[in-house]
Amino acid sequence: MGRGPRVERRKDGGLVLRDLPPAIGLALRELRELLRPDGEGRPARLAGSPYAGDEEGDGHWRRHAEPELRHLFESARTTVLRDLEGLAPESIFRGGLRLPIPAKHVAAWLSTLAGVRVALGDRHGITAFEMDAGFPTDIKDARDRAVLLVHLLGWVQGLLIDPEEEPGPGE
Amino acid sequence: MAKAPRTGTQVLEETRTDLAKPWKVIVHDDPINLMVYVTRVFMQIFGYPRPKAETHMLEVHRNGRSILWTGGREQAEVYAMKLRAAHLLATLEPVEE
Repeated sequence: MGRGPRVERRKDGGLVLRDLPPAIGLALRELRELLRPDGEGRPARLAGSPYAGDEEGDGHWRRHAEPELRHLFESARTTVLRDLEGLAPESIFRGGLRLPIPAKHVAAWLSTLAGVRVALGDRHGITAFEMDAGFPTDIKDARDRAVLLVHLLGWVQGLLIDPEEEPGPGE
Repeated sequence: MAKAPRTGTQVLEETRTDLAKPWKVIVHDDPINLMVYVTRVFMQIFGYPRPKAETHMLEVHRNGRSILWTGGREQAEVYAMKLRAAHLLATLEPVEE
C-alpha cells in the first residue's frame, strides 16, 4: 500500500518525490508543454524594467539584465526538462509516481515552477480569491485548467520547500 | 545671495552625489507566489533571518508592497535582478529627499 506523497532526502542531499498522485503526474507532464518555446508557461515577467520612467535605468536594464534573466530561465528550464525524464511509476504494483531531483537542481525547480505559475496567473488573470479557494473541482474550460495547474504545480513547489531549511545566500 | 560660479570640480561632485543617491528595492504582491516561497527567496537573496523575511513577506501580502532594502543603485539593481529571476515583482525607486 502506498504511504502518500512525501519527500525522501538522499545522503547526497538530493530529493526523491515519492508516491505522487496521478493528478500531480499529469501536471508535471503538462509542465513539458508549458515550457515549450511557444508554451503558456513562458514567463513574461522577465521582460520590463523595474525602473519607473528612469530612461537611463531602463536602457541599462534592457541591455544587461534582461539577456541575463533570459539565460538564467533557459538554463533552469533545461535542467527541469532533463529531470522530468526521470518521472516514473513507483512499481508495477503501486499507482504512485516517483521523481528524483538532484540537490543542485532544487533551485532551478523552484524558480521554474514559480515562473510557470506566475505566467499562467498573468495570462489567465487568476485572482487571490481563486488561489484561496483551493483546488477547483469543476473544470469547464482552458482557464479552469490553468487555475488547476497553478494549484497542482504550487503543491509540488511547496513539497520542495523544507520549512526548517535555512537557504544560504547565492544558493 | 548670488551663487558661486560653477567649476569643473563642482559638476563632478554633483554627478557623484547623484550616483550615490539611495534607491529602494520594492517587492509587490501577486496572487500566485506561495508565502513560503517568497520567504525563502528573501532569506536567500538578502541573507535575512527567517523572522525578518517573514515580516517582509507578510507586509507584501497585507499592504501590497514592502521595501526590502535601501542603498546604492548598483547593488539595488543586483537585488532587483535576483528577485526578478525568482519571478517576484520587484521595482526600484529613488529615495525622495
